[in-house]
Amino acid sequence: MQRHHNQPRPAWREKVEEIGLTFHSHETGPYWDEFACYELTAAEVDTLEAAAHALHYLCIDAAEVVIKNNWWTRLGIPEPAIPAILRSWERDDFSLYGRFDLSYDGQSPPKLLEYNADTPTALIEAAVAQWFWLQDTHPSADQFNSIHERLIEAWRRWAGTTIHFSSIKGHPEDEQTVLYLRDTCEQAGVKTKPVFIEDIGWDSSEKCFVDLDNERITHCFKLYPWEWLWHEEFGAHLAAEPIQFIEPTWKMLLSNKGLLPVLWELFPDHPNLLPAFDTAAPLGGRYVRKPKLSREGANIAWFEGGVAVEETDGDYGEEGHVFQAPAALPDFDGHHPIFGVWIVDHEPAGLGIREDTRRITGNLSRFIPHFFQ
Amino acid sequence: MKRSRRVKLVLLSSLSAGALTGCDMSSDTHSASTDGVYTNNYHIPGAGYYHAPFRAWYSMPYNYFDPQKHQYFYGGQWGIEPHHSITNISAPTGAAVTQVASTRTDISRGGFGSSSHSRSVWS
Repeated sequence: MQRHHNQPRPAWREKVEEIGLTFHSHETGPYWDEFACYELTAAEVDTLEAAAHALHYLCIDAAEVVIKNNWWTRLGIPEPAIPAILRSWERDDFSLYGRFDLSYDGQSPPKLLEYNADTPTALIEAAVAQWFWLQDTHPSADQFNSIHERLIEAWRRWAGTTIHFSSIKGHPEDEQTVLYLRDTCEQAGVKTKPVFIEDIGWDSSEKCFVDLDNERITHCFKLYPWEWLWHEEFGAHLAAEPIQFIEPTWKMLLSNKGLLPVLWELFPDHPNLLPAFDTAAPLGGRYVRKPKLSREGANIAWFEGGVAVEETDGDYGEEGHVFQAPAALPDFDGHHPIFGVWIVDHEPAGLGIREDTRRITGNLSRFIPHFFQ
Repeated sequence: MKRSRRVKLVLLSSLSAGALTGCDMSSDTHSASTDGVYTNNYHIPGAGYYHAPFRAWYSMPYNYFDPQKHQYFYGGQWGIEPHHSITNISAPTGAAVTQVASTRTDISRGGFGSSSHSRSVWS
């Protein structure tokens, strides 16, 4: 694995904007960062792919154990959600995608940091922007990235259905991500329609959710966390399942960091897992504390000798924490990459690398394209 | 080869904006539209029953008979005789559609979205 410095393509901003990556820069600099790239070997890509495949099915096994043991409180799952999760699990409701965040140095086996199984983003970057970057810069090289065609393939089973696509208002990244997923869905021959989360209506006569045209919403892709839906005013209507959401309710089990200690209990010393526990004690003074439901790397704290040496702020943590052994993060001149392996329709489909100068990857990290020979 | 053979965009790319214009997005079952036609007594929850000769929705079915009044209801009025018309299907007026949209008191909105506190759900 190597990190290269690059000259960015001329007019790179315009190039990525043309393909939908309108949120390419932070206030402090580029988020889409083609001033660098990672070169991997085919063997390293195979290792990441195999790890993600194994981890996905370990997570499903662990979720089954949570269900059998009624460990709902352990994961901080609200009680009204439980019957819906169980039914969704039994039906094996359709799951489109997820993203594993892995630590990997090219030497030791990749280690699971977390599974973004409900509302993963950084999708346009991985599926589209770096694909076009590769065409322009390394056309003869390969890339771990069949995300686009795998998404289209996954949607095909919904031909004849109308699927609504929903995100919150006023967030270009979320809106563009959902628009991209609509794009892939349309290309699969499925009718789509947009509706913002805030605009979804509840029809009390018909007992159904409706869009702004008062048309019934039967299937809805939502870029909005399940735990938020359940806690909001309309959450009371979800128990009757008047709508089939994508991602499905059962993904609440996989997107929850409370699953990390369960995984370690079930599969101790698995090469792709880090020791993780419900308390800090087994890890001594060196560990990473993570809220069970945090996003954007929020409220994560890195402890050395029992003292927090690095911490991110945010609004999470009321639901409880898990404690994970720190991963050995590779260091390329002070840059720490995290390997986001995408799962589409239960199979690994691609890779997006984000890096940060901090040890905790947050929402100010940068996306770095990759290739392999 | 582990990369997509082709990445085509029909909605996302600024180069393909409007590619889906004209695409039929409707699966209309319970909404009012001037583009649609409706038969007598087509019911929209909260709006009422369609009266095709009058091209609008009303609170009671077309030619509903009230046994106490001994009268029939049609087009927003009561009459001693049932209304007779050869029109049993029509398109609603724009005013009727607007009124339907504004009279759906059985639909509430804003029950999702409060947890975001204006933050992205990026993860």
